Amino acid sequence: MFKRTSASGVTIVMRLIKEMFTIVVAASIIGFGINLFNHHGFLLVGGRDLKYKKIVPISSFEAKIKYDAGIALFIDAREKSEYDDARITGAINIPPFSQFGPDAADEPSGGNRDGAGADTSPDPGTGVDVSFMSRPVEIIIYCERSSCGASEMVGRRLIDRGYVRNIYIIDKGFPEWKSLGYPVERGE
Amino acid sequence: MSGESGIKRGMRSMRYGNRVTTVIRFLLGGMLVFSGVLKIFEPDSFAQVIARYDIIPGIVTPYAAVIIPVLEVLLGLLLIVGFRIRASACLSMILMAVFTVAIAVNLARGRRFDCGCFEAKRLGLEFNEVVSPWLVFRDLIFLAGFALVFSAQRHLCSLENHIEKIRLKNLEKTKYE
Repeated sequence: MFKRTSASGVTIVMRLIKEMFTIVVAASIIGFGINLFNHHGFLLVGGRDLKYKKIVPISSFEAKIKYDAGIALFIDAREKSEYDDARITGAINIPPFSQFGPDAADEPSGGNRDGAGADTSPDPGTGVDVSFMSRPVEIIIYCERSSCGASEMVGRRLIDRGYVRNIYIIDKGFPEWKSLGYPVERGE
Repeated sequence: MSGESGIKRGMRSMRYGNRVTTVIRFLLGGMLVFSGVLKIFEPDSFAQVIARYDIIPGIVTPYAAVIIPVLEVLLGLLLIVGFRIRASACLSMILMAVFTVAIAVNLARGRRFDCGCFEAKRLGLEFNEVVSPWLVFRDLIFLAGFALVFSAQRHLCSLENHIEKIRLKNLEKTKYE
């Protein structure tokens, strides 16, 4: 269709392919760059981190709905002193670096701990009792500030222990819950 | 030359690249940008469109959904600006061929669905884009347009042309100074 006059055909085709390749590569880079910062984009996450995507941030309002429904178990990821001072009614305390109880520890990962784990009596000497993991509750973790890392850390540790359902985190933390006037109890 | 008919001369001029090919280049470039821009920021819905065609494996779909819209916009911009025209026209041809085949295959399977070509619904425009022989025909026309742009030697109002002009001017200067 078109005449090739100067350079040999092979050179022209090679240059064409090279240019096309460059355009495609540029498009891919730009595309994934946009996707990285796009709120509606695809989540590119490694298989190793995929399980931690079960940690879901929610608002205090949503947490209150779960509280009212009686299906929530609140975990206070703050320090013991803060927990003793004031906490969401019915919350249990798991500081991020606390030892977990033996019940889940000596079991291999995976979830055949229903029933058996729930009945074992908690032993305060050896660490936090994690038997709640087998109870039919939704775990909601909170800590002191908005998006403080402690909640996330506790959530990850629970997942590492084999918890398979969603874990909720109150996004803005305990202060929001308190400021909205939701139920709070004082420690002993 | 004088013996040639007007049509034949027109064809020859078009093959070399005249105002018509330039207008086609702008139109097709604009079309690509238009179709790409609407998809770029909603890769999820475009992935659903791709999945509807049921041609490429599901695991590749998100990657295609991320790359194809950007590729469309990039090619469109390159065509409009007039840089690397031959390469971008060739890639556009490939893209169009893929689209055409995808539509034709689903047509042959006897399926009818919204082709999601422009996703113009998001702008509130309602035009019928259900998979049909007409769509295959339309894509083939686009393909022919890109082929015309690809085969043209000269592109008016293009960066390439401008650069070439500057180069030739300076060539003369250095030659005669």
